[in-house]
Amino acid sequence: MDWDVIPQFLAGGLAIGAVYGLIGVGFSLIYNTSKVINFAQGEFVVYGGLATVSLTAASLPTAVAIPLSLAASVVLGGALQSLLSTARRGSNELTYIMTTIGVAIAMQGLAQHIWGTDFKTFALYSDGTIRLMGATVNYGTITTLLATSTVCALLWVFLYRTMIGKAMRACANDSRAAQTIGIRPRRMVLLAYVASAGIGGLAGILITPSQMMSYDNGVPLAIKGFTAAIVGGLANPFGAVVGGVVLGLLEGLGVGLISSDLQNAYAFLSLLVILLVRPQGLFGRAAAGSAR
Amino acid sequence: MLDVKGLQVRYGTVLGVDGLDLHVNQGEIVVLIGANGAGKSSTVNAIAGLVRPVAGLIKFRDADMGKLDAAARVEHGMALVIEGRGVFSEMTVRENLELGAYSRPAIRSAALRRAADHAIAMFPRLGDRFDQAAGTLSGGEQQMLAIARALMSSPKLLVLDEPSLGLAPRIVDEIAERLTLLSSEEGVTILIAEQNASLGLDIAKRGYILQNGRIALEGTAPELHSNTDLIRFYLGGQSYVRT
Repeated sequence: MDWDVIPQFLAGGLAIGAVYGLIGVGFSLIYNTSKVINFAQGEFVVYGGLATVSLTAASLPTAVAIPLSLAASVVLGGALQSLLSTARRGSNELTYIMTTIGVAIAMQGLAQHIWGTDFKTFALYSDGTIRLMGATVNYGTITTLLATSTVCALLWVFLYRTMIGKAMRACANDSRAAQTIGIRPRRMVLLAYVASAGIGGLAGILITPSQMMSYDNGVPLAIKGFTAAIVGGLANPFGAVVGGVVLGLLEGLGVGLISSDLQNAYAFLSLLVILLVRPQGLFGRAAAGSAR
Repeated sequence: MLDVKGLQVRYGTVLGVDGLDLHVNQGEIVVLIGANGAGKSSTVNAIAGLVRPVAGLIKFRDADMGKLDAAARVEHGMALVIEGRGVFSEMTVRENLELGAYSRPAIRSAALRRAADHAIAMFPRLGDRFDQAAGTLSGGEQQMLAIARALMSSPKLLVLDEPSLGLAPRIVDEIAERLTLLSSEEGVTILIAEQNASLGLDIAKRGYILQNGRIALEGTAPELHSNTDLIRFYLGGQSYVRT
């Protein structure tokens, strides 16, 4: 076998891995503040991507269309949380998680109604490539990695340097104690949904130009993002990004070395292996506190 | 300052607190003594807004607390240190203290630093642990941090739920001494829920004995002290009273 092709396989998985990671960040933020899994997370990705397609098709420049799509995602996230918190009264976590699956299916139906069943795309970056450590890396990958790094940096500043971000971590740590110092956990949960929806929408905007987007991509993307968060250790949003990149790289290797027919299987096989070795995920509990 | 009337807290079909009356006057230290399950935590949690009572009136500084959530009660000048301390174990001592002032968004960083310095002057060992995760502190240090964090909101009323739980007598004495100073020098009103009758009665002015969700006995600390047999009876032999 020719080992020179390995860097190229890895490069192929890098961008999609970063996107899985961004979706995983959303799972992690919502889980930390409310201890539930929001399976509608993938729909934010679909809506973010497809909304940008529509706006650019209406001949808005991407510099306008993208902020508009992100704003719409954020509003959608806030609306979803308000809806879910009403539904949550008197129900347990499992019921709530089922509700998020119901919301995901409803949102998928609505997306089909709005955008139809075709794969759609828009142009975001030019076709150029650069050479990097023996691999050809396209501008799309570079853009995605830069955007993901920026999100991580902003999220870090928010969580570790602002009072409201610290309050969110406090709420994740002990929401009862947080109430005794004046923090309102429901506001933190709302904030987590808004942030997760915004980051999910961004993930959609980043992959649509290279992978195309269709109304029914939400569930598979949610599962990949959830896997990324589990691999990283659900409690740590930055772990989710690393988890996503690990998944993406393994997928890239699997597709290159074995077959693209099994693309979805690699992620879950690696999930099984990682959880066998480290049940708490790569950056689970023990490391979550020291990630500063 | 705090006036509770006819408080009832229900868990499913079980009444945790059944028609409880108590009051705390400005500047007092009051202790609420009871065995496990007598309803101490339910009472203080209802006062702080963590559980919603089914009946009763809670008045604090002349305002009805009934419709206010826990956060609004903090803004109104009440601070609760929950049972088991509730420090943010994954955050540093510094962050815990900063968050204590969360209900005072207008506070400037200089004032925040002064408040933190003040808290550390009260519990100097916290200063040595400033950038350590709170989860790495000893039980006594965590209790001190929880109290210091509560004080960051500059409360008028400090409510403590089982502050001596699981702590060595020497640490309990140290905390009791600090609470006395807090009351005498800074005029903070204090309500302590305790199973350990001695900690409460040593520093309190008045006390209530709680049994099955009701006040069984009340009086000044010396009165209750002279009634140790009775207290032992109400506590079901679970606790001791130093005489």
